[in-house]
Amino acid sequence: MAVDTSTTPKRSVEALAGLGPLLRAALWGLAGFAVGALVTAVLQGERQFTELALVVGYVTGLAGWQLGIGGWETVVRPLYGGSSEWDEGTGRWRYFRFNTDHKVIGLQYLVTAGVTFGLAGLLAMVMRTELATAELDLLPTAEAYNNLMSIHGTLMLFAVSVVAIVGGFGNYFVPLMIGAEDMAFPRLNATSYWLIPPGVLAIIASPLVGGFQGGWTSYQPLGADNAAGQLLFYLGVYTLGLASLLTAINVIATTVFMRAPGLTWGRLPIFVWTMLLTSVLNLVWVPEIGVAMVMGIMERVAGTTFFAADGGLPLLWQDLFWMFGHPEVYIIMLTAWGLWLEILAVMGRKTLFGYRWVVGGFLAITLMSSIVWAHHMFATSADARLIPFMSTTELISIPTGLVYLSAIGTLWLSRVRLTTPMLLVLFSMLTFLLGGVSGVFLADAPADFYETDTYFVVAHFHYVIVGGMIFAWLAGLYYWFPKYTGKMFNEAFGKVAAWLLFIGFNATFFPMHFLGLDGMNRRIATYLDYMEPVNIAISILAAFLGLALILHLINLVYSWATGPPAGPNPWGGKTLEWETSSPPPRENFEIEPLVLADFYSYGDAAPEPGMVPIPGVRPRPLEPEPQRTSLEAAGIGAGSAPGNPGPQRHHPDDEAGDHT
Amino acid sequence: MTEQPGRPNARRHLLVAGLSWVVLTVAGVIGVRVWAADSFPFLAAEQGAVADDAILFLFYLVIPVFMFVLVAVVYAMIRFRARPDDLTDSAVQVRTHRGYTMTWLGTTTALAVLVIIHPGVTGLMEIWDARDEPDPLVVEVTAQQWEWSFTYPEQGVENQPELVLPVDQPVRFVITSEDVIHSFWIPAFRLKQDAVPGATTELHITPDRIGDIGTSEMLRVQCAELCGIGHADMAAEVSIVTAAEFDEWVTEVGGGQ
Repeated sequence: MAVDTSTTPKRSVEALAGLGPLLRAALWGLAGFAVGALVTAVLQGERQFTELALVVGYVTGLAGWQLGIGGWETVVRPLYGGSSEWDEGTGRWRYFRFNTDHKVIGLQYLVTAGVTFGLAGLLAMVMRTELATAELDLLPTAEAYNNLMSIHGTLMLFAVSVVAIVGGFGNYFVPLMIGAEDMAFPRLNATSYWLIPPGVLAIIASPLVGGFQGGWTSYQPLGADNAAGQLLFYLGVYTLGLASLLTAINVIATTVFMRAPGLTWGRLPIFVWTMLLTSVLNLVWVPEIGVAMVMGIMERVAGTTFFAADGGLPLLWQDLFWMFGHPEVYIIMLTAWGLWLEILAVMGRKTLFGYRWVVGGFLAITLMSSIVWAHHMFATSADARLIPFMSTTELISIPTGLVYLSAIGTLWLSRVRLTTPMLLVLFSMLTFLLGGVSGVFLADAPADFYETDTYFVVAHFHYVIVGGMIFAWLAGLYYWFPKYTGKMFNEAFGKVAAWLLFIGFNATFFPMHFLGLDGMNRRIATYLDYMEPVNIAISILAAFLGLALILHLINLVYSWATGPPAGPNPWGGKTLEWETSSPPPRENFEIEPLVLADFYSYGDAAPEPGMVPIPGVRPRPLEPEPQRTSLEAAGIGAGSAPGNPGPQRHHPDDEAGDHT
Repeated sequence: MTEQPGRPNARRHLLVAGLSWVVLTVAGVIGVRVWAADSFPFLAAEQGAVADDAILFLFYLVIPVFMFVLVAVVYAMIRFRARPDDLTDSAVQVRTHRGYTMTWLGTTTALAVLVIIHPGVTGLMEIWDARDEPDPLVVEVTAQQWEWSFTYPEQGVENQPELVLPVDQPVRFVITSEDVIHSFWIPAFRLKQDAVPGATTELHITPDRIGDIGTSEMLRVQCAELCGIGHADMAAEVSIVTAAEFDEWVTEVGGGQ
């Protein structure tokens, strides 16, 4: 058509302008790297590319990247009295530059984590293809396998699991759910997101300098022996950790100071509670793992011997790593549980059971998660540590159980609307449960001596992280899809994909428990022939898991492009994000919301919690809340009695719930 | 309370779900017993039985827990289903329930404390008991990228590439590494112990079954901690033989005083 010929050049100019900051960031990043590396090599008097030059170049390159993407105009120039003028972009181009809108940042995180998940998932498919046979036949060397496996694990843990829900949904929905206009520190927020791409790139690029072979744990002293790719592991993990730390500061400040009037702690949405506590864990433990990463770098470039067999403590790394590494499991899981409970109450049209108990459970988990780390080292560590750490590990199952107390208490006798997100939450409850159950076997030291470092552990943590967090992330992607896209997804397609995911996932990972017990150790490219039949089966079944994920991706992308309008509140949710349009305007709410009651009360007597007050009238600021006493007097407040009667509608087909 | 429409059925739901839970739990326990009767991999050490027993015992504890959640979720999916566009609230609205919550807390706490004591602490005690066995055979295990070597100081046998052990003789493995961290694991013995450079660790085991890799592939030394390119192939043969055969072997490889 004639229109095409005239718009094509115009669109490419527009694209160039839209991508300008990203291209500039890449250029400044590369220039920063070149300058830093070159100056270091010259100062060292070396004619070649040294490891120190790689480290310095990375740091200067990262600075160049941040300035190029918009940090120069938004942060540095105003700091010295210059203009802070910066074009945040419009339309899709907003996503490719420094943009301070928390909703833009949330989607940036979600898409980046999704792309990274796809890449790391492809690596897993390559690994499974290699593992279909006992010999090495697809990959050229065992080293190549180790590199793939290490990149898969590092990306999945540091760039997907701790980022997707916390960075994605956290940024997008915490301000919306507490009735705020944005996060407390919008520029810090944009800065933290733009640390993610370089962190991911560093880890992906590691094979260019030899890769790293130690897995995502990179135990020492092997880490010191590896090729220079090990440095990119340290730098990449540090960068991704820094993003988590900055986000944590932002989430805590936002939640503490920016809640809408009437949003007391006792009314705080459950997902926001989990975001807050996750952020506390990040605030405490990310600096700790950062120190470990810096020690690892110094071990290679500054001649230190922290972890060396001669003059150092090889096991010190494991303690430092797991002191962060175990809280990290809860950094991953807390928000996933928060999502479960949000979705269960809304989809079941039933009051969230035991809000205070489960928030107490989350607090207990947050505290206890810091004193269980040595259970990763039962076959390593001194005897004196076995009983204490075995005990704390078994005991943390009590507060974790409170999540199920609340989930089942809410689910029971609810009106289960089996939408795609609800289905995924129920599947997540079952798969995470299996991960928790195998965790009991691993927490028991005598059994752990047998199971540790085998495929039993591989099965266990995939059940926890994929079954727990990835399933919940997908559930959230569907649950909030109408909100962040304004469109409705294809429900039938989503449900088929959810079932396929559940079946494919279990078929892939459940047999691994038995492989482990039958003597298959983890992190190997070749194995003895007797393990081959089960491995072939797993590799074939894993294809269904991959297919299911691709179907979900197709559904989400296709629905985003062509789905029907969803309206502001398709699920009948009560939290504040459903009180505004889909997607919400830049300032989120046209008028600052006022919160009158908690968000999880259903039944005819339940009050409407959030409310956008009469137009033009500013709500009263947060004060003793005159409404509160009268509501509690009416038996509706947070502490009302179980099974509080109140007027009931009659539902003739209520108990069966089947459609006749 | 009684005239609430949800109530009378609530009792029936509980009854049906409860019965399903009992049936599934019994079925699960029977299933595990059948599986465990002949499917536990080849075992060749007294202390290894502690790990197998712990696993079996834990199965009995977690099956009811697993079935409880499974029944709750599946029952709700089937029986409490409502149309997706039906925004009617549930007739039953419960914010807290003392009996349910306290029973839950009591049960989970009791289970957690129980597994710490048994099979946790009791199992460790049993494994540690092996250290008090008199006159153990000492075997020094040295791990390096990517091979194992075994030295029998009392027999004067040095740096053997394969591990030969007399049956029913307590063995004290003294384990170290020359380079990075490895893990000394004989799957048929169950227990593993890391080999740490610059330190020695110990593992006390009494092999109780004659055999070699021909008997079961579980009878091999396998490095279990990622140690570099050759990690997967870092294995050594294990033979468990009679005392007489062991003495013969010692003479054959040049030891024996």
